[in-house]
Amino acid sequence: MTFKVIYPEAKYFRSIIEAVSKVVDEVAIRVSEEGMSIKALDPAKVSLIDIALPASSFITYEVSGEEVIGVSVANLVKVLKKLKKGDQLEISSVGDYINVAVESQLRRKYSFRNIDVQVPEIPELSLEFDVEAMLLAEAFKTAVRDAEVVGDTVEFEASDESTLIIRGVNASKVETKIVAGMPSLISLSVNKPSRSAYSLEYLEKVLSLTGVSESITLKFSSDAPLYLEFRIAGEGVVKYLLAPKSI
Amino acid sequence: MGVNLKDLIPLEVRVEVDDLRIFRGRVIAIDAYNALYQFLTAIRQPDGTPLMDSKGRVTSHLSGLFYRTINFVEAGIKPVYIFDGRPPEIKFMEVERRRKIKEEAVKKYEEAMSKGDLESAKKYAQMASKLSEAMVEQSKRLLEAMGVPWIQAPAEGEAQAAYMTVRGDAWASASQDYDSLLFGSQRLLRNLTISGKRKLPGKEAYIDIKPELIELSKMLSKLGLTREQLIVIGILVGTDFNPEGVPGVGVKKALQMVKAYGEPEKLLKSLPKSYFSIEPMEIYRFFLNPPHTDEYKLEWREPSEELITKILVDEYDFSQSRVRTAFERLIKSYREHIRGAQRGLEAWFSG
Repeated sequence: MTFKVIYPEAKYFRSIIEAVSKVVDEVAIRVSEEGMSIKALDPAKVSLIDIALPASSFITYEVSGEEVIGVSVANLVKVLKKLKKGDQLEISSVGDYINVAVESQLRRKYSFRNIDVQVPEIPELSLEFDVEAMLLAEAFKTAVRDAEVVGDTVEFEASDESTLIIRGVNASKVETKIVAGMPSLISLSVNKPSRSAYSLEYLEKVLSLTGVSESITLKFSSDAPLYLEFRIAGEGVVKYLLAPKSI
Repeated sequence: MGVNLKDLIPLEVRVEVDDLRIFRGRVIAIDAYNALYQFLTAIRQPDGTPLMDSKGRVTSHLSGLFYRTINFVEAGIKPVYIFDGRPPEIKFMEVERRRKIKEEAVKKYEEAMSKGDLESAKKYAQMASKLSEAMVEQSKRLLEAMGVPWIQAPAEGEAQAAYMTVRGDAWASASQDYDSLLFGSQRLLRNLTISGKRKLPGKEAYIDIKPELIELSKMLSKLGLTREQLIVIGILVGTDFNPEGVPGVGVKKALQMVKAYGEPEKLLKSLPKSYFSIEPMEIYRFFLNPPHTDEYKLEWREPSEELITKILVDEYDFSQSRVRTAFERLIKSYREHIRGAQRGLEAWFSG
């Protein structure tokens, strides 16, 4: 079976793949008539990434039936270096090979062997979140980067619907308060006052996605996983789930 | 040495481990003597000389212990090392046999060196590896400096490690010896301390060794055996306490015999006494209920750069910059995985 798709913004695609590369080394990409999807759980089962790029987010989408391609994420990241805004990305499969072509002033084409990667069996998760916030991606990124200055753990706290606190915790503390009414905070709803801590080492790995998404949805509960949702250029969705650290 | 059950274990029960991170958050009880011997054997210069400090003291075991343990902690494993106590009396013959092999190896090593035969010299040097009391003490001190717990077993380290898996204090025990399964280890992790590229003995070829996990309950149900019957198979093919086993009996025949008899004790009692210098029932009971202790504490502490540097750099001439880089990996991983208590998503998987 063969397919050919063209994604309009290669740089966006790279950010997505970079986030995946921090979770797993090899990944199975499912290409179906509806769109392209990737689901990966890291070997330590701490984080889960779930990506869906609908067919409509591509400029060309020639796919019939369904195909699963296996790629080394590190290889893919390597060939997606040196991209300019507006470069298009073409992915096609021919026989045992996956071709990746970057279309700018020149056309660079790479071929990889389609490797056998098991589609991971990821159990369903039963999760309910007490806090749900929507904020500007840039504000989120800045707050997390600030937290990194002091240590390896970041705490999220919301005691009521007026304030979301993002706090870097170690020997010293640094705190970013995002208050209702500020342009950064689009919405905040709190069922129950909640506070939970997460590893910055993991969280840092998906920060690249803040560059391709204007706003993010953030959900958490006390001592429960953190859920982040990035909307890519209005159509694609990247969901990221991160297990908490005990406080 | 240990019992050779290699050919008994069905392939589907051996699970090859590609990534140590799957063990994140798990306590793994490591057979310390087994690991240290492996470091002594494997970490050597091309002519077979172990690593040494400026005073000529061997440091291969410290190097292995330090860097390997850091790899474990980096993967999120909580290691605990279990040291052998006094060898049980019934092991006398095996202890003696090993001592002779080593004496012989030392002689052959010297011969090979005088002939300039480096290849053989290396082989014999490895066979002559000896773990001294001093090396054991240095290793314990290093572990303390690294904040990694160690436990003194009353007798066999692997028996204590196995007991800890039964008690649920450890998730798996790590050793090369299949004896661990006879001792009842719920999960045996082999090749943990030696994984990576390894040279094939006597050849210029390397193979990639990956850790493998053997789950006792799966193995027993696959073979249709009880642990008691497994112990009897071990005794038939030979254990550390009767190295020769029963003449003419390999794992296949042993499996048949055990199944035919059903009752393990009945089979043991039927065996001619002349095959054993130690009463087989005594060996059987030893495996079933080896000396073990409940007196231990599992506590991981923040590693101390000062103490590690004092031991490795000041005393044993390790490179300061390499030790520092490794220490930084250790403390980061300790904070991330052990102190920080990173949880997994499993708790929220439904069904």
